[in-house]
Formats: sequence, C-alpha cells, structure tokens
Amino acid sequence: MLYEKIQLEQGEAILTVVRRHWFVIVTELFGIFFMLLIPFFILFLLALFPHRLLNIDLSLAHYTKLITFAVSAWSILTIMTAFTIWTHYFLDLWIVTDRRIILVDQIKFFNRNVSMFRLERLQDIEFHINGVFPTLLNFGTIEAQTAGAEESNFRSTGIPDPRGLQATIQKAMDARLTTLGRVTTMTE
Amino acid sequence: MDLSQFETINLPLHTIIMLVFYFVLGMYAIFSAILYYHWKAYGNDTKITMYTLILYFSITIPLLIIMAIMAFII
Repeated sequence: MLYEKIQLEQGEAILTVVRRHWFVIVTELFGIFFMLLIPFFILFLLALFPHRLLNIDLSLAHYTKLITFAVSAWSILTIMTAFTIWTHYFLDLWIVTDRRIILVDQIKFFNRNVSMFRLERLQDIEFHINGVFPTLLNFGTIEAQTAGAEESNFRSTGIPDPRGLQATIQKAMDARLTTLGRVTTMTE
Repeated sequence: MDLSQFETINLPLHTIIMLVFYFVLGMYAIFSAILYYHWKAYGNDTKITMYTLILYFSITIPLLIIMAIMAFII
C-alpha cells in the first residue's frame, strides 16, 4: 500500500490527507452516465420514429441480439472510462505531515508524480476560489511557492476547503520552524 | 483517383461481430490488469480498493458474458 511506500520519517505524523472535492468526480461521472445512456436514447428514437429517421423499414425486433451485443460492448467501454476517472480521483492526494507535504498526482495510468516539499522550505501558500460552484461548495485551487527552483512550486485544483488546508499547512510550518529553531539554538 | 482499384471487403456479419468481441475482450483484459495493479500498488485504503475491484468485476464480467453469448449465437 501507498503509505508503506512513502516511508514516513521516524516520529513523523500525518496531519491530514486531502483528495479533490467530490463535486469534481461527480461532474466527471455525470458525463459518463450520459454516455452510457446514448445507445438507449438512439434506440428510443429509432423505435419512436423508424421511418422518419432512416428511410428504411427497420424493425428493431429483428436485431435484438445485435443490439444487445452492441449495447454490452458500449457499456463495457464506458464503465472502463468511469473506473479510470475514479482511479485518478482516488489515487490523487495531498498528504500533509508535521514535516512535509507529499503530493501524489496520478495524471494517467502510466504517468504518476510523487513530490515532497519540506515545510521549512515553503515560502508562500495561497488559495483561489473562483466560480459559483466552488464558492458555494467551498473548493478551489491551492498554490505554494518553495525556496529554490521554480519547478518545485506546486499547484492543485479542486481542493476542498482550501482555506482550512492553508491554515493547517501554515500552522504546521510555524511549528516546524519553531522546532528547527530550538534545535539550532541547542546545538550552538 | 480511381476508386475501383480498391476491392470491396465483404465480411460476414458473424466475423465482424467476432472481431469486435475479441477486440473488446483484449482491451478489457489489458485494462483490468492495469487497474488491478494500480489499486493494489497505490491504493491507500484496503476497503476502498476491495470495493472498487469487486464493483468493477461484478459489473463488467456479466456484461462480458452477455457479449460472448450474443457473439456466439448471432
């Protein structure tokens, strides 16, 4: 499982695990649901106006087996797409620990990024909530800048309660800096 | 361009159906293996992993069986 692979440091505690907002997955799966209904919609139209749509004498009863075959094939392909969306949704996550932020980004099946940012290197963290649904349902984009190369900055969209997450990270960052400051003073 | 140089391919319906069936079956097998691997390797909740895989196979296997039956009796 994932947590064993990430290998937390000794004494490192997970503060929160965040996935994208449910609205994001519901919207995507809604589209898939409509795709699943397309053959039934076509069949309904053909059954309703057989002569107007196609200028042939088409009796659906003669093609029951063929229709069943085609609908099954279409359904399997659509369901496979739905599970791809679900997999990408569920395997994408932010793990905030008291020392790091671990970002797991499942872009495609064979394209997976796992980035780690130490809290003491974090310089700025900001969030944007843009749009009607994000405002009503409280989700948005969260961006963070770290000290160092620009590539090490990170950005995630569709994060639920970005304000709360920002506060959690900020608090963890302050605690981390205090701990590190204490350690430095002690060694001096 | 002289289109008459291309021969019309007359495949019987049963052959086309079987080709489609094997194509979908192949895609399904590859996709299922990838999906299973990803959930087993990267899933972070054993329960969700189990429910996802059970749901996936319990929906798709009956559909595949229906497809196979239809393909062989058409």
